[in-house]
Amino acid sequence: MRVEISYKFIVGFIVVVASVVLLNILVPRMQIPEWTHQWITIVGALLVGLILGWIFSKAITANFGILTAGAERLSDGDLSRKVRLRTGLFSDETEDLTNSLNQVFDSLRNLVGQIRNSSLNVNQSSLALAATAEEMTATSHEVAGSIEQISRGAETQAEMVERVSKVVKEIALGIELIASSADKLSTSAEETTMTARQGEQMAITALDNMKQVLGQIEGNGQLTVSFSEQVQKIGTITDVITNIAQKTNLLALNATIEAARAGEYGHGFAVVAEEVSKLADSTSESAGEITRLIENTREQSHKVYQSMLESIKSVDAGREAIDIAGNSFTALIDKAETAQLKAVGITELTQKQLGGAQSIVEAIEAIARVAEDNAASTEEASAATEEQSASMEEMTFASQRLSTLADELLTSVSRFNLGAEQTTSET
Amino acid sequence: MNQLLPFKLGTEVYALELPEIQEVVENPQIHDLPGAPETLAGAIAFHGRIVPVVDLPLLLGFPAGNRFDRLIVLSDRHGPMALWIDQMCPIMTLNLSHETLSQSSSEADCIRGVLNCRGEIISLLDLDQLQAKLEQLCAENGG
Repeated sequence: MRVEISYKFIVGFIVVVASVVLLNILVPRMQIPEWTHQWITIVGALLVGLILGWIFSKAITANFGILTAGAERLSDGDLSRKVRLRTGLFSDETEDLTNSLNQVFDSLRNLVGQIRNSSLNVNQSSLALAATAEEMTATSHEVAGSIEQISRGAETQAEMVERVSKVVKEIALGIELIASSADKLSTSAEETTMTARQGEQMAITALDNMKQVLGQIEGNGQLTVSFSEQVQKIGTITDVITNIAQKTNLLALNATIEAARAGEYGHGFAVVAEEVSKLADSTSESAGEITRLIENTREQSHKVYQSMLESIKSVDAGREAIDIAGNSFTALIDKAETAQLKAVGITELTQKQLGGAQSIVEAIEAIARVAEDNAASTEEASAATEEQSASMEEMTFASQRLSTLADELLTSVSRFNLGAEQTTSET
Repeated sequence: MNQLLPFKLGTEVYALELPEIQEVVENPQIHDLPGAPETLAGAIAFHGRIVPVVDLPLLLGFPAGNRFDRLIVLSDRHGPMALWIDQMCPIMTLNLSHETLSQSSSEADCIRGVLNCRGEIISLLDLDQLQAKLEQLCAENGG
């Protein structure tokens, strides 16, 4: 039964008044002096008033003490127990206050429980976040390392491409040199061909001249042979003359012998015979002289003939040599023309090679550009990953801070004692 | 004055006086004489007569050299006979009485005298001794 405090006071007043009235009625009936009646009544009324007042005040004070204790527990954060008033017969405003306080308790406990759960969740999440961030940081470090490797690789690639470009440029230069050399070779082969043709012409001319010389020498040989024959005829005639001289000599000798046999008569004849003999002797001498000359001439003409034969041999050898030289020139012309054709082919090939090398150079330059772009991109990517890494670290830091905050929050909230069943049910 | 016809036998020079010579013939055809001694080289036809040819170097003991193509036909006083010699020299005219003429000591040499003519030793052939030697030889051969 709900009775407000003011009504309770009113009821108490009424009870006091009633006890005064009642005492006024009862006291006279007692055998006591009359003058004490008033005092007894007053004292009785006072006593009733005091007792009632003590009872009421005690009940209210107790309730307020409980409320105060509840409020203090609330302030201390003990939310484990609700405020429970002693169940009186008559409830009053303190019970409303208790109910309100208990509602505060409940809502606060819910709040704290939620906060604790949330902070635990936040803590766990932030820890997981921190772990994830660390993993991501590690991953981004790895990515950064990989990108750095890629960057180094790109730099190496760029260097290699530069080297290849240099080498290919050198090759192109070499090919240009080869091309110029092939040009020179072609020119030289052309000149060689011309020279060899001139040489061939000269060889033909020399061969003709040699043939003329050979013909002249053969004519000279014929002349020499006929000359020898003439000389031979002269020798024959000289032999005849010599023979005649010898015969004349013999005749003169026999005439001398005959004259000697004739004695004095043959003296003049002997002189004639002697003269004849002398003539025959001189004839014989002259004939001998002629014979010697003829011998000499014959030897000379023989030598001339021999040397002519040797000349013919030499001329033949020269003709053969010139023939060989002419053939060699022909072969040389063939070879030189072949060389010229080959040189022209080499020139064309080197032109093609030059074009190919320039294409290679262009392709390599394009590759170099791509490699440079790659390097730049990898650097950007590296920078991005570094930024990402930094962000990750910041994020780790932030999540750690968040965790710390959650911890702190949890600590702050742990001040509140939610009671055993609440905690277990919440966790 | 005497006229001599010198000729060579090997290296030695012999000579005959012109009156001892009939004629000098050249390149006669020498016919063989079968059964004759070696010193008789053969025989030639001379002016319708057959004249034996004496190989004089062989007879006088000179080595067989180059025989000359001329024969000396001796005069009838010593003939008929032809001498085959090695080489003939030109006729010399000299006074035999004024020349140093040394008489030969040996008769086997067929030399009747040696004369020194301008530093050259010339032996005069003794035809009589030669004839005697030939006869002796023919006799030995026939015997």
